[in-house]
Amino acid sequence: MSIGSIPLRYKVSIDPEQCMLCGRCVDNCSYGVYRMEGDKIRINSRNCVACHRCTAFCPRDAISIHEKPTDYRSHPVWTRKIRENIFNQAKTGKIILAGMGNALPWPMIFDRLVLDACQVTNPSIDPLREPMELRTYLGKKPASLTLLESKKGDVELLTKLTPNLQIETPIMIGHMSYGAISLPAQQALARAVSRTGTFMGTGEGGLHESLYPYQKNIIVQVASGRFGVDINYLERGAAIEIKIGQGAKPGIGGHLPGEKICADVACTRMIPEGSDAISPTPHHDIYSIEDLKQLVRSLKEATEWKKPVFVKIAAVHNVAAIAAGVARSSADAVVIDGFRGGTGAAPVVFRDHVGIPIEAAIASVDAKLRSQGIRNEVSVIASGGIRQSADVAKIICLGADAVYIGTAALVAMGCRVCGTCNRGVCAWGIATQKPELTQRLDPETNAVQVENLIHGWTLELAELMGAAGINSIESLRGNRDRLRGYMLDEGLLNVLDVKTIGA
Amino acid sequence: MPAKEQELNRAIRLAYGSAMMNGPFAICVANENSLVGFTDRIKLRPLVSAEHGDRLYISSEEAAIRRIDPDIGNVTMPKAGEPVIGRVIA
Repeated sequence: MSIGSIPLRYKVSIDPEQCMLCGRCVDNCSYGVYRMEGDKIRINSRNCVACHRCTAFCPRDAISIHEKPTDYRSHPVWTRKIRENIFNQAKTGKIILAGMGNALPWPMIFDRLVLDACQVTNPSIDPLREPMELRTYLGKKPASLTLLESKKGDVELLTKLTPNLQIETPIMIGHMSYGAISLPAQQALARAVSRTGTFMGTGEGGLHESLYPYQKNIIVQVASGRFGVDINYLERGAAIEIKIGQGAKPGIGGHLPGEKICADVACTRMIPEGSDAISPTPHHDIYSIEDLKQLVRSLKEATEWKKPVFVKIAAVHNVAAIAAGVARSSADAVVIDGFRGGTGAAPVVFRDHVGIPIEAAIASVDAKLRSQGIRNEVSVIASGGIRQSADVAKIICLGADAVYIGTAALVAMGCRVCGTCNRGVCAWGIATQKPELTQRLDPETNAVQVENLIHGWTLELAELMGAAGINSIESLRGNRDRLRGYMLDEGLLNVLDVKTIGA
Repeated sequence: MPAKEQELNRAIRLAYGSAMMNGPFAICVANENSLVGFTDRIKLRPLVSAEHGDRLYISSEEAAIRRIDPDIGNVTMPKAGEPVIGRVIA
């Protein structure tokens, strides 16, 4: 007996009273839900992914989308998702892939942490009246300075500083490659970061020529496939990031299917058109911290020691010890990518079950680096699951210097988190390479939206700091006293080094 | 700010930024041959100082200084974060 059709995920309906048969839904849906038949719009709900492109462009608000119109027999163990995954694998015998980040309802530590504010004894500060210092430097810091005072009283700095990235807000945009996302999407992000004094990452997709004007604000990535890497690429980047692992799929590499490798993507990645771009699971030249050190130093040598080199690792069980190793590899910053990090495509089993949350990872990395007296050797960048300015403030309190956002920036460009990036037919023109879809995304309009988001979060961060009576970001960093845990267990409070509410 | 001074200031910020004291305070520290007073960087707590002959006064209130030394001339208000330093020269 075959398994047959599984119940619909979404039920799409059009209110005939409202519909004026303009056909915008038919034109906009890239998943094939709608078709015009004479003077009727026919709906195939089975194709719907709830990306909302049709509802966003329906001039009459005639479309409604309902989730799960057919119930399964409810069961706490054999959930709908579990059963559907089994159906899927019984049919295909394959690994299940999906896009975006972790989709299991794990408890959200961020939402169990509350921030502090001043009352009476410790006055709060109004950011509209007083300067609020959010500028952050990413890179190695000297442990101490050696100064020489001349007889005339002039002070000379003898300590040689290593290159640091200067960011005007601790919010950067993480690595999303050209291939995973479209060129107009990357162009929008590049414009946004260059106007807000922050940085974006190229991902492992090379640096397209049209992004050269924004290279001062771009961090170029070197990952296990080495796609797009040559000396021109390295020299154009403001910093170089070695990707060891990714929060969405720790322990495995990447796979960009050949269908997404159009001529332009192929050229930027320096690979043949239409070939699968497979990033191996490990870097085949890195099997230890000593090997990592060789790559870090080779990249520095190649760029004449003018650029900071970051190393990105996924947040896994022993993340603190690994980060302490990375700190000794000559790297200037370690990026910790939590298990909620998004991706264009990952096996669901990895996306949902491998790795640890960013909150616990950052707290333990910061504590380990401090206990070893090497916190100044590397900056710590948090990524994976940063959804709002409160998360930024909380993760900085737990020890991060700055954050990378990914999904949030895409949502600012219209992404509805439908989780279908892996299909390559994103109706919003973000996670696709089809010209008829990518042209939907206007780089300028979307740059303004992303810029607005970064600006809005930065203002909120300044307000939160002011309310806490703090006017410089350094005083927030690692300041766990500004956090209290609400209904977190003792073990986790110890890891976070945060007191409970009321204490 | 001249480039050289800017670089020195940035270096101090890079190396010692996380040791920065933030929040409201006015501090006065002394030993047998020096006296230093300073406030937080936006002067959320008050601090005034005055000189009279070889005496240096540091207080949170002008009235306190005038009570001790009624003949005092100018009582100055140092800028936020700017230290007042007095040394005993033998």
